[in-house]
Amino acid sequence: MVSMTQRQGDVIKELEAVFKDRLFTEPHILALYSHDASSEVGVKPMAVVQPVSVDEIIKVVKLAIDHGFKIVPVGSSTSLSGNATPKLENTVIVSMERMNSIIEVSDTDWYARVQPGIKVDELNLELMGYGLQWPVDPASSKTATVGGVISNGGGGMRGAKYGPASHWVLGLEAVIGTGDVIRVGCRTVKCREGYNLVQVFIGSEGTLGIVTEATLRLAPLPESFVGVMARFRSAESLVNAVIRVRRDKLWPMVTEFIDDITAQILNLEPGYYLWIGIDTYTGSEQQILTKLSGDISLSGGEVINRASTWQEFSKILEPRRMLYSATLKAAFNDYGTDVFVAFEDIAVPMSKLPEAVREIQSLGKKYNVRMNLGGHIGDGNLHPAVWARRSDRDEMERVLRFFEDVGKLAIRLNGTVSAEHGIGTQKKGLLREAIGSRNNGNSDTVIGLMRNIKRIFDPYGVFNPGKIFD
Amino acid sequence: MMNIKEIHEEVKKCMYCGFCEFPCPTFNALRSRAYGPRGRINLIKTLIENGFGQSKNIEINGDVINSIMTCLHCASCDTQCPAGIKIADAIHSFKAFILETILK
Ligand SMILES: Cc1cc2nc3c(=O)[nH]c(=O)nc-3n(C[C@H](O)[C@H](O)[C@H](O)COP(=O)(O)OP(=O)(O)OC[C@H]3O[C@@H](n4cnc5c(N)ncnc54)[C@H](O)[C@@H]3O)c2cc1C
Ligand code: SF4
Ligand code: SF4
Repeated sequence: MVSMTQRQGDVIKELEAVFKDRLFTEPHILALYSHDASSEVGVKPMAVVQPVSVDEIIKVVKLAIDHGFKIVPVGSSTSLSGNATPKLENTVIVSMERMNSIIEVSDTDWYARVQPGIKVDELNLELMGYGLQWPVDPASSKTATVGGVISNGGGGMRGAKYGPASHWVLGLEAVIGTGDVIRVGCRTVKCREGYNLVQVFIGSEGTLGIVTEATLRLAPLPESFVGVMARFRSAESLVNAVIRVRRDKLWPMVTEFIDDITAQILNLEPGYYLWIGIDTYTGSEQQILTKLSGDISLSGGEVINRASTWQEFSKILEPRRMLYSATLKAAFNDYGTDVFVAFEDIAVPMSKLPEAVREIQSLGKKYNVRMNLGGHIGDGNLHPAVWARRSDRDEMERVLRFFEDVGKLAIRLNGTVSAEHGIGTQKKGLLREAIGSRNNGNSDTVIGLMRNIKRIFDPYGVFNPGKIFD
Repeated sequence: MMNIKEIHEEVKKCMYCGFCEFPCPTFNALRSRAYGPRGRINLIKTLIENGFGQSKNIEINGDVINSIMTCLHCASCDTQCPAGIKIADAIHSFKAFILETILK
């Protein structure tokens, strides 16, 4: 009989023939790919490979089919729900970090063809030269790869106007679980070629195949930009300002907020802070700023800073960009390196925002957890963050119950349990509840459809097993 | 220079966000996690936790040594870290520790 290690040895030999010095089996290096940025505990994969071509990817998929190992494709492993964390030892990580070129930019047709390992900021720096942008900008844009953003269906600060990744991908090339290469979608925004398989891939978290190239839809960079930073006494009046701005038919590109706890950590005066940034045309700046400031004072807010260019706005937005580091600072202050930090990711319809903020804060009190709150309030996306002492079982238990209840709150308010981070391993239960809530308590039919879709793309069960659903 | 306990206290704070890789010259040249700050400090963390250079006699492979030793100590990574980790100094101090251990 052939033993497990002997079989693994054969696989490694075959991988070595394809990937040479881009194959890693050293245990310390394998550990670098054994988890993502979430708290999900993973296992060491049996190997990591770094392909540089589609052919190499086809080869590794065919080897997986023949030898029965699993594949987890990864970009920068910055997922926050366990999406990129391997759970089985017989896994080969296919790390896309070296496939990072821009193949083509069309400044007439407004698309870019890129390899998936390019980071969002790397792409946008290049596009700036063309006066264009890929307006999907997660707070992790410095590190998140285009392939990772597409596969997580990510979004970001510009989402209030531009929406998430699903609005900004025209076409994809991918290697699916049969070893075939498929090219789906078009180069035009209008594209009605049967079922929309591009959208099936978006948010599929590496469970259907490996994206090897993406044709991205681009937008022009705004000609001009104005914005404000404002302080409010309560979350309620802040949300009312956002609603008032919408009623005035202003359409901000950026609408972000932080709560009073974050403000305190950042040494700002007590209060809730709101940033609204609007892209516009030269000549209309003052008019928009006046309207915006009026909406803020009518809602009981106070404008602290004004910006009349994107550069100025970037500067006044700095405290909001510090949300993640402010959370970490408070968490380390409280518990040192024994700390556990987790970030929620719900969205609710705009009309439900005041209720959502109020209830999240009272859940925090109910479970007596340390938390702060901020997020992309312009699209109803809230990111409560919680921290606890890892070695305190009671506190850890309370944090998990808080999370569960925040998800349930989103469902109750007709929102979603995951706006942009995805399901991974950590939200499988909440996904079922969310689907069940819209289907008279029955989640089986819809999850069953998803499972069947996975089976079509990945008949041998190669890709990222155990994610999204069981 | 930090001692081993101080290095450990720093590297333990890593949240794995990867922000530090963006400006790292060696990461950008090689596009490989082990050759960036996130990779280096997490290799260091595991090595310390496994007892490297302390009580235990841990074998360390050339790939791991190379990744740590190729750090340029330019500290571009430090400016990006939301956890405020002194990445460059932690790596620099651990390099000295590797040399001491190997030459012992
Ligand atoms: C501090 C911080 C802030 C964040 N802020 C945001 C935010 O504002 N908005 C947001 O949306 N997310 C945010 N995230 C989450 C995360 O950064 C994003 O989801 C990001 O898009 C993941 O990119 P990545 O390259 O790290 O992908 P990975 O984590 O490596 O992978 C993501 C998923 O896609 C799969 N995958 C990766 N590449 C491919 C490929 N080429 N083909 C097929 N599957 C693939 C993986 O298997 C995994 O399931 C944040 C994370 C951190 C740590
Ligand atoms: S100090 Fe080392 S790890 Fe940090 S950016 Fe420079 S080369 Fe990279
Ligand atoms: S920026 Fe800091 S916390 Fe993030 S991966 Fe690098 S060292 Fe870790």
